[in-house]
Amino acid sequence: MFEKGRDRDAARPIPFDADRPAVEAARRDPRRFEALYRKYVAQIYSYALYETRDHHAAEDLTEQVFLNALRALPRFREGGLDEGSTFRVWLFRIARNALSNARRTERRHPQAPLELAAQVAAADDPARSAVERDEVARAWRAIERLPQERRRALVLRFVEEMSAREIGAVLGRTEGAVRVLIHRALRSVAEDLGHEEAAERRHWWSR
Amino acid sequence: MTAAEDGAFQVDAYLDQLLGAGAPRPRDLATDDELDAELERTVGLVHRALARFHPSFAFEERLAVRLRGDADAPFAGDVLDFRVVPFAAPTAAERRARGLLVGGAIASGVSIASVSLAGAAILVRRRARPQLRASRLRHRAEVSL
Repeated sequence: MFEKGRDRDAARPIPFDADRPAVEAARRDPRRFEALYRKYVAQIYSYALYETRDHHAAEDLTEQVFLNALRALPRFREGGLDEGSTFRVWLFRIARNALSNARRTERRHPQAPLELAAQVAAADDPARSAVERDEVARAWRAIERLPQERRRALVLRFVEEMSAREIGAVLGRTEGAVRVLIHRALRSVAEDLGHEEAAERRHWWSR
Repeated sequence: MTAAEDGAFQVDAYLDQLLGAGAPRPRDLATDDELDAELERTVGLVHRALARFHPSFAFEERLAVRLRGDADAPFAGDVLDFRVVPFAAPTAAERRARGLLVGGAIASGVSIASVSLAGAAILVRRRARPQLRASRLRHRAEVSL
């Protein structure tokens, strides 16, 4: 059977925060915070890198997030995603606030394109075909052209592998709104890729 | 539910299967979440394009050390509100009226010299008149009787 909409949402249980034991341990002894740090450092760094598009800025932001999290840990209140937060969602909220503050104080937004497509294609598999590398690069360009909120939702879904509910908690939107946001983002990318491929075909035939 | 929401739900279910994210769905709910070919290809491309990056090892270790330091001393690095009292040089009258602090901090070389001179003068006086102490003791004894 295939149920749709709210019924299916309601049937889904509220996830247990897998970090609860580590969070409790860190609350008792702040030195135990390191386990949480090791688990999430790459996720926060990636999120910061996609947002700031600068390695140094991403490192600064990552540092700020974890120092703030360590200091604020006694005030962290876990709850279901609807009422409160899991540790990961809380950490990403800190990152989002830190980003907002950084942008408020520093008006200069890095507008350079996120030139990581080549690195991704090269690092992933050296033997990957040129065609495939081109496809990934095209996907990058299409993602780049998305409005910020759609791009952010895609990054949280694909890079951080968050559920729509978690993304909603981070971005301050409903789960349904996040699903629609991601769907539209993917449709936009698909259309963009289609246009680009059509333009390339036209260019090829005109030669 | 609108058609857009319906499509969004289908994509979400597909992504859950692809990424393994979110809460586990009951078995009878997750079934024919299939996308059209174009969207499926796009999802594949976006999945490959959006990789996770790891910070440098040096950065990760440096931050780990800093966090350890903060964990040992949670308030290290916090700026405390330290009240600064503006300093005003004492006037000549204040300087004369000011008592000497002996045995603790000594204000200046002049103070040390004056304390030393006063002590030396008393010592000389006592040594020069040894009978003075004896007569004082005798006087006290008579008063107490």
